[in-house]
Amino acid sequence: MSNLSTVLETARRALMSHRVAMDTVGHNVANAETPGYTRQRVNFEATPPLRTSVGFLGTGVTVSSIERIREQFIDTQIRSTNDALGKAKSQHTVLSQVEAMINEPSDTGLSSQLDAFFNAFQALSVHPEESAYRNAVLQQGNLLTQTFHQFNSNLQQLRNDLENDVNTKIQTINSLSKKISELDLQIIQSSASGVEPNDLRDQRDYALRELSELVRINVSEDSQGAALVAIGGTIIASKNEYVELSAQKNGNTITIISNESGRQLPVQSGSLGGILEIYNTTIPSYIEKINTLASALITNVNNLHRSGYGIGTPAPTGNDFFVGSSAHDIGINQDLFDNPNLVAASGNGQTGDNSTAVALSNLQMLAVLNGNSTSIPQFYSAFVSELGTAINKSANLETTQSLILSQLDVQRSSVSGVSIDEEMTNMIKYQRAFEASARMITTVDEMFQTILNMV
Amino acid sequence: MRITESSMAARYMDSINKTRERIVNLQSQTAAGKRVLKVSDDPQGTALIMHLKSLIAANEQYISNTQEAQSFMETTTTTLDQISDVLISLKEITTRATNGSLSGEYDSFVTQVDEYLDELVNLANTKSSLRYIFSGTNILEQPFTLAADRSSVTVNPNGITGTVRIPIAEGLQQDGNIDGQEAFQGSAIFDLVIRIRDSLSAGSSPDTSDVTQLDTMLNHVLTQSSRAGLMAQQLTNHLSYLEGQSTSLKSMLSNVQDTDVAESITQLQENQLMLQAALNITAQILPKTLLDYLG
Repeated sequence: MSNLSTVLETARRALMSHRVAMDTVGHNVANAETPGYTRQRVNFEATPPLRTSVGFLGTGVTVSSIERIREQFIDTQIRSTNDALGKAKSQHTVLSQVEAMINEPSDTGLSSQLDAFFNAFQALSVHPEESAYRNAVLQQGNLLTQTFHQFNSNLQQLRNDLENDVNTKIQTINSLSKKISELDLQIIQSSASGVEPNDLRDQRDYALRELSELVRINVSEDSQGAALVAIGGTIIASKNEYVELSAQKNGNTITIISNESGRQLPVQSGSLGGILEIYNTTIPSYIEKINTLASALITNVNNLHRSGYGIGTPAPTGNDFFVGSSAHDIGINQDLFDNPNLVAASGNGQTGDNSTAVALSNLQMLAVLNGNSTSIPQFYSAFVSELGTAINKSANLETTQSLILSQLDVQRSSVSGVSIDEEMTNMIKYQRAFEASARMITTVDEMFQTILNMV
Repeated sequence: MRITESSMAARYMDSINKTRERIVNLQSQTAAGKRVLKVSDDPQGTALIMHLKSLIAANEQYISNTQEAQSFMETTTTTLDQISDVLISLKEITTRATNGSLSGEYDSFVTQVDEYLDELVNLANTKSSLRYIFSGTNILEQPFTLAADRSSVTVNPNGITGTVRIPIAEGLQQDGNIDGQEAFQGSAIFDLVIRIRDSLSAGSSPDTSDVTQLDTMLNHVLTQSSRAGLMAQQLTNHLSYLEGQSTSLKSMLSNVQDTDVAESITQLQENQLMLQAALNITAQILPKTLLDYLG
């Protein structure tokens, strides 16, 4: 049969259990705004009953576990959305910088400079005898070459900045892998000692989420609960072991290699993947286009200019207008600056003839690029629209992915987020239970008094 | 579905930020008066804007070319008219001189003819800015040189012919001068005047055929003058075509590039209203929790 101290013991257990539950409510409320925090729930369990002559007698309650409320599937989805978003975001930012560099449509961009240059030749064709118009052609040409230089050096500068950015991101990846592997070890140790390491798991999951924004990762959990993190098949973090990565520059491209094996890692997505793609592919293709443009301009202007005549006796001919061969070294032939009369406007040596100047100004309309199908301004404007479309594409992708991500966050939050209303309700529930258990103890105490008074 | 405070806050922030972003875009578009401020605002539109701007710049250049060619042709016409005036005066003197009874006045005729000869050569060497208008394409070299003793007029041995062709539209060039050969048939006019003067100073009456020849020359110059006038007129017509072109190109550019102010202000107001509504709702709903009702 039971005795009063058993009842006291049951009430004590209930008090303890509800205090743990209150602790957990407090922990949840305190971490309501902590990034990556997963709400915890206290699971109660009835303690083993006592066998008595009249049957099993309950002995009260105990806390069997404190559990993280979590859906693994959403985390995986969040990570894969995160790497796509990271890529779109980083590309959008970098391409917008390129957009600011080309400064179109404006009255100072390359397009207007090209117009002004060809029109200067046309103005010269009407005034082939006046040196002011020769100087104007040279000045416009000079502005044009400066615009080419500026754009080219801006793109090179951007590549240097991106290189630094890649290195910073690699360092972040390395420190995150280190953190993940350390947390893995602590999680295993804690689990082995029978304590569920809820908050450590939260920290690790959050680190994984941060990592997934930088690069696409595959995460799997082993039987002990340690996370294995891999980039394209190469494991970069596991329990207490991690592989440092570094960026390697070969000529004009950057690859990411594992310091341990020296092997190249297929970094695809994430902000690192996005920046690598821009560094290795996009910007070189832009530089190549600008170089193609500059070289077409140099070759065609020079061909026409060499066949024309300047002013003098005998009329000078065979001079180049531009020197150089690409956007970074394009320049005006210094001889022309020294003697503007070398600028060729005449096609036959007579001062009043303007056929070379007319031909040079008509070069604007002439299809000289892409196998003689595209004129110089058309080529440039196609490049500009291509850039604009690429920016819009990355911006749209960024919007879509961030929409998906916020949807997933809402889903995650609906499972794992802390609801103050819910916690307050639980608080009242546990408070009442605690009060009731305390009441039990007072009552048992009174019963003891009654018995003692009997003596 | 469980809705938590942080997800609610995130949602409200999200929609408020989006509305603010739209407001900022609309504001900068309205303030600049331009719909396309950067390439990504409208990539295809940007290409079109660049193309239209290029056409407008070229058109401005054609307008300036045409204006200058026109004023050059007007100078040519005026000069040829002045030359024809001189020829008329010469014809009067010559006609009077053929009347033998005036042989006593030949000396004064010779002086007058010499003055007219100087004037003729000066007119034939007229410059517009730096160029000699009757020099063909040898524009920097004086086409006609009168010997110091007025015994002859030499034509620039490097030539006085050649047509200056002015670009006045894409792929279109117009002749922009009348060369010395066309205007004066080389030195024929001057040679005739010198011959008349020489015969006068020798005391012999000019031949009636000289008068006829002067008439022929006068007709020739008048023909060239009206040709020059016609060329100037054509350029004037072309100019008004180019100006019309310029206006329509500019309105096309404005259609692509400029903000429809009424529309963007309406949109701006709509978005501001949405922002106010969102803020209002957020302010009312977010702070409410069970805590407000617990005693």
